[in-house]
Amino acid sequence: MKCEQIQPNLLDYSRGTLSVSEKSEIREHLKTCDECSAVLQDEMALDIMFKSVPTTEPSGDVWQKVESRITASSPGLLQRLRNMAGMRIFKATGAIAVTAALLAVITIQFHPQARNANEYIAPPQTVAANVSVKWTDDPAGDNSDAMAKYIENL
Amino acid sequence: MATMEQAVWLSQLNSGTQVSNIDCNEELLAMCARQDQAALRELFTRHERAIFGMLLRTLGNRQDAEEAVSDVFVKVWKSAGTFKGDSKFTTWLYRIATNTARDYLRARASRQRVKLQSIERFDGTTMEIAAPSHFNPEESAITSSEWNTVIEALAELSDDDRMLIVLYHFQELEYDEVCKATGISPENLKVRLFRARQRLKKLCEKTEKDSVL
Repeated sequence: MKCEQIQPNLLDYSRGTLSVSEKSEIREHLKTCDECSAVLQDEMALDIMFKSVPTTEPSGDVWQKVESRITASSPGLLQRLRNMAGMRIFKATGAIAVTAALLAVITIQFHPQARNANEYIAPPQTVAANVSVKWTDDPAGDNSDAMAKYIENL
Repeated sequence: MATMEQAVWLSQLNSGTQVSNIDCNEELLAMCARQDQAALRELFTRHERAIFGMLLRTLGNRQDAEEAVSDVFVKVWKSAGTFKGDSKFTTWLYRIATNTARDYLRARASRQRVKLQSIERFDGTTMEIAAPSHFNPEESAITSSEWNTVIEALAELSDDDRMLIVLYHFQELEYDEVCKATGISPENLKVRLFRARQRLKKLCEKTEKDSVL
């Protein structure tokens, strides 16, 4: 192995995390290479230094920032209740509209007054046809007497 | 590590349980997806310090680091439902933190470019930034003089090198976790880390020489 292939592995070599074959290959290389031996010393020194990093505490108010931001971005309780209420009103309105339409159809079809009303507004030619059944004995043959009586009854 | 299905199932089973009694991060995340703020608070308590440490060393000053920490946990809250469970929660968290740090560094770089351009326009002189002004060792609250040398050297590293050093050496993530957090391929990672350490070492030596003179 060449130095440029060995050197990136020297940290892992110093930590003992390489495979047995890699370890022995690097060990053999280090016996004859001063440059890689010096890099190994640097890597070990840096590793010790990194591990002695002092920890730094965050200030205590970061959660408040997070909390205010997620509360502002998500719908609040009041809004959620409004949405739920809105949905219920929408559903109730729809149900009322459907029921009213059904009732209207039933009323028109089966209510007796509505049926009379239909008869009342029947077109004149239909009335004339009905009357003509009774007027078969019309002497003039033109239904004129029966027509006059019908109009009087109106 | 629990699978996402297990975490969701456990989170439903444990609804009403004290969140501090729930060990599994993934389970708490599933509760966050159901808008449980107490679960987010628990995740924040567990990981704030580590994420703050990573962001402080990457961004170099407390104010930006704290702002970025709050960004990270707001993103956790908003993206909780998208967590697939194909990695550990902490790997996913560090990926969010790494991306957030990059956003800050990118924004900062563009601000510096604007500053530089305006100086060139009005003065007709070129401006040299000897050390990034945003990286303040005092604010990093590290007292030892040896550490100040390292922090100053870290400040002069490139953003990518600094990110690698911080994730692998300071946060002690595994190689595969660093790969997932940064998007660097496993074949390149060791070489890039080695080169970053070499550059840091040279910068430390330079900083020490400068302070002696």
